[in-house]
This record gives sequence, structure tokens and C-alpha cells, in this order.
Amino acid sequence: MSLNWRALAPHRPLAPGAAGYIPPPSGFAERIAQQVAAGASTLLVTGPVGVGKSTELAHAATLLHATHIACLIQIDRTENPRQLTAEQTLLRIAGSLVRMATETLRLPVSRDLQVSLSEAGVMPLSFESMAELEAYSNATPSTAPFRGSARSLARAAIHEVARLSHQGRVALLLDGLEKLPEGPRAMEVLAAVGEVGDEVDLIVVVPWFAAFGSHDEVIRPGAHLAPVPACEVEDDIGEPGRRFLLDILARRLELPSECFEPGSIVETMSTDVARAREVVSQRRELILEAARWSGGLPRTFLQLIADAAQYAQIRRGDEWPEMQDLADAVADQTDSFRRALLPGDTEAIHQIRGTDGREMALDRKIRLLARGIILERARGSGWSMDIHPLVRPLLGGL
Amino acid sequence: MREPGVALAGAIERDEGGLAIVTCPDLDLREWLVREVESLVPTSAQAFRTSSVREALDRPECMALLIPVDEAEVVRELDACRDQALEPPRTQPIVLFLLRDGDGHRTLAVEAPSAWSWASGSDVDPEKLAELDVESERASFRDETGAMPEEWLARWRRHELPRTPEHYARTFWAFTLERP
Repeated sequence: MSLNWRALAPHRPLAPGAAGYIPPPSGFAERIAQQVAAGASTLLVTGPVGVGKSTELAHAATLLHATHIACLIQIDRTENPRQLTAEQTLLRIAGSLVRMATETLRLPVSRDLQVSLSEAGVMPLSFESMAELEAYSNATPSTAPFRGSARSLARAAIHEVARLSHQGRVALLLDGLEKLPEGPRAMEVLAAVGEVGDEVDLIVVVPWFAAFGSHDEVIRPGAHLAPVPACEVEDDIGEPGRRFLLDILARRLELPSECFEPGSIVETMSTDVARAREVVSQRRELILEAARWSGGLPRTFLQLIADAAQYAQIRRGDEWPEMQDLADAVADQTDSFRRALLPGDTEAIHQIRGTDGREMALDRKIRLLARGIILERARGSGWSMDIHPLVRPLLGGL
Repeated sequence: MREPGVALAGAIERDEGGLAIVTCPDLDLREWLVREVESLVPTSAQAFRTSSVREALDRPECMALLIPVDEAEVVRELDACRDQALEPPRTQPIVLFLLRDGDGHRTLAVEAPSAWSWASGSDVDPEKLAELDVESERASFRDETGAMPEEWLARWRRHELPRTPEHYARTFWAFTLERP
């Protein structure tokens, strides 16, 4: 069987309910669902690129379906966050919620609301809906479609969908707002999200600049920060993290995880057991080595493996990479990190290693955290700044 | 050791929906590198030049050779719109040409973590890689292929070499080592 390395798709987050989901050691999505159940109604999600924020948010949406109309809105797939306004955000929320209610849940959302959102350009009407609407308008006295502010349309959508559903409560999971550029418009967009109503639970991926300072001022009072942690992958403490990444790889390649266990090779008439175990052992070691280099970021891990596999393919036509291929993939990724470092970073990173990072200037800290150059680790009873393994060789003395 | 040709071919081919960045020392060599990429990618890639991120995103079945007029703005737009490349899934990458130490690379480092992550590991500086040791690289090329870079390229241009991924990679490598 030939392996489909393209299926690793490092940059593609999993959709809600996707079969390939592997829970991380932090159990982030489970924890989010528990916090919401316990009454936390506003959660601000942060995390470095590639840590799995979108995948975890999608899984949290799946978990919340039992108690909520959980609507995942990947706003950056339809809007350019650099040009996003508060009004567009509210309209997109209303459109996404009503679309989910009508198309997926088959709830009888009012025609007035559907037409209003369609005219606002945030909800295409299906052919079926248009036929129904035509019959409806023929049977009812002619009235102009409802018009309202974006805020009133969003609230109308939430009230109506909550009332029609058996869950009775809406949770909005907003992904993509972390790309809002810092400035007054970003704060307006985030504040507008908070205006959808107190009866709505909000789980929102926010920009890093919104993660520092008072969280009450970001979306609405009572907000809690929920950082998605990169899993530990080094030393003994990193064993569950390495296992998590290995399981992701196996799932994406549609292989059983046991196929990376040398002990799983059983003796048969046609198998050279010792040789087969040696091959599996080498593959396992390569995967675990990639996991260590990844710093616990699933995207980086998958990218390293995919790149190593490609080196093996174009150099030798081999299906599986060797350690030299992984070394070159590591060099490619290290180059990318090198280009992301700016003057002054080396000394600043040295100074905060092992501390909670409070002494680093905020703009530098945000830039380095967003890229995963420095990683916040929960250790003991506090937080400690770690340096990404791919960055350490660039800094010297680490 | 990473051969520049393999690194460049890898950056362009490794992720069909990806973003590859080719770093150019100056504008003259940028044009040369664009032409080299155009001449090397298979016709099935339907490579086209554009300076517009929107146009690159709107044609997911074609390889977009993105040659910015304003590097910083293009990087910002790619950062904001990265996830729009997920649906419909791209079948060809976007290849972005940026000047070494230019505004685009600075914007990637300072403002655009999403675009940086998207291109991570697929950003190559072919000329810089080739600076390592040309004589030694040429010897390695001969050892590996049995031909000097110029001989290899002559056969490639006469279409005597099958268009396989391995041959594309070696041809990229040969281009970076070719003597005028």
C-alpha cells in the first residue's frame, strides 16, 4: 500500500465531527465545554500559529451540541479580517447562525429573517427556500422586507434560533478574529461581538494584543482567557505529547498507531521478524524525533514529516524518509524561524527563559508568542517561558 | 546538506495548497527566478503571473506566481486571507517572490504570523543556498547524476529527460550551478 503523504495537510484544520480528531494531552476542547457548562459565558482563546486552535474550536462545537446550538463561524474564510467592520461581523454571525439553523438543523426560521439576511448578502437562499418564499409572498399581503441594524438582525437571529431549538441556548464559536490588525477598529469588532446578548455563550479566538491587560474590556465583562497550550514533547514529561503527535500522523495516513510499535510485529512464515522490527523501530524513532523538534505544535510536526517524506521521494524515490531527510526538513524550518527573528530578540529571549516572561516588552512578547518562537508552558503552579527547539540552535548557548 | 535545487523544488512542490516563498537578491534576479520557475514547472500547473492576492486565491487550480508591487501589503493580505485557500481546496501552490531583506520579509517577521506559518519551511533563498561552495556542489551534482549541470540542462532542454519529480529537482539544482 502506498502512503498518501499529502493527506498530512499540515495547514488544514479538522472540521467539526471529523473522524481524524485526536484529543491533545491538555484536553482543551473538553475543558472549554466543561467551562461553558459551569457558567463561563465568554472565553478568549489564544495560542501560537499551528497549535490547533481551529481544530480544538471545531471539536468544542461538536461537544457543545448536546446543550447548545453551537455555531462555528470561521470568519476569515469569507471576510478579510484586515477590512472587517463591526457591522459586517454581526451580519456574518447572524447569517451563519440562520444558515446552520435552516440547512443543517432544518429549523423553520421565519422568512422575514431569511430575506433580510439574504439582502444583507450574508445568507444565500437555496432554490428550495426561494420557491417556498415565492409561495409565501403570494399567499400573504405584500410587505416590504424587514430592515434593521446589524446588531438588531444578529439579536433577532439568536433569539429566534434559540426559541426554535430544543437546546434553547446558542453558543457562538468565532474563529479567525486573531488576524484583526491592532487598532481601534479591532476593538470595535470585538466589542460588537459582545453585543449579541448576555444569553449567548461566546468562545472567540482573539488577537494576542487582546490577551494582555484587562479581559473585561475586550468583548464583555467576565471574559476568561483560554490559551491553547503546545504540548510538552521533551524528556519524560513529553511522552504523552509525543504519543499524541504520533497518533495524529497515523490517523492522517490512515494507519493503525500500532504499526509504529516494533513489538506489534508478529512472526509469520514469510516475515523476517527481526528486520521488520528494525524498520518499524527506525520509523518510530524518526517520528518521535520530529515530535521533539516540533515543540509540541501539531502543524510544525506534520510539516516536518511531510517535508522529510518529500526529500526522500525526490532524492531517492523512497516512500519513507531517513534521518538525513528529517535533518534537512528541520534545517528548512529553522531557516524560517531565523527569518522571523529581529535584532534584539536573542538577548531578550535569553533573559526570559524559564521565567514567566513578564519582563519582556509587550510588543516583542506578542510577536514571539504568536509565532511559537517562545512557548508558554504550565509547569508546577505557574507559567514558564520555553524556547522552541528549532530556535535554540539560532540563539547560541542554549 | 540541502542542495539549492532540491530545496527550491521541494518548496514549490511539497504542498499543493501551500504558499512557497522564493527570496530574490534583487529585482533583476527576481525576474530571472520567475522565468526559471515558469520554465520548470509542468504545463499542467497552468502557472500564471499576478500581483494580486485576490486573483491568486480565485484560481486555486493554477500555480500563481505572485510578484508583488507592494510586498508589505501583499504579505498582509495573505496573512488575513490564508484560510480562504482551504475552500475550495487548492490543487496548485502560490509562489511568492520577495526581495531578500525587503519589506515583505520584514512584514512576515513583524506583522503576519499566519502567512509566516503558512510558508514555514517552504521559503527558500536559492542563491544564498548556492553560495555555499559551487565547486563542491558541481562535483556532487556530477557524482549524483553522471553529468555536469550544463550537460544535464542541455538534455532537459532537448526534452530527453522524463518530467519526473526527481528530474525537476535535479534541473532546479543544475540551474543554480550553471555557468554562463
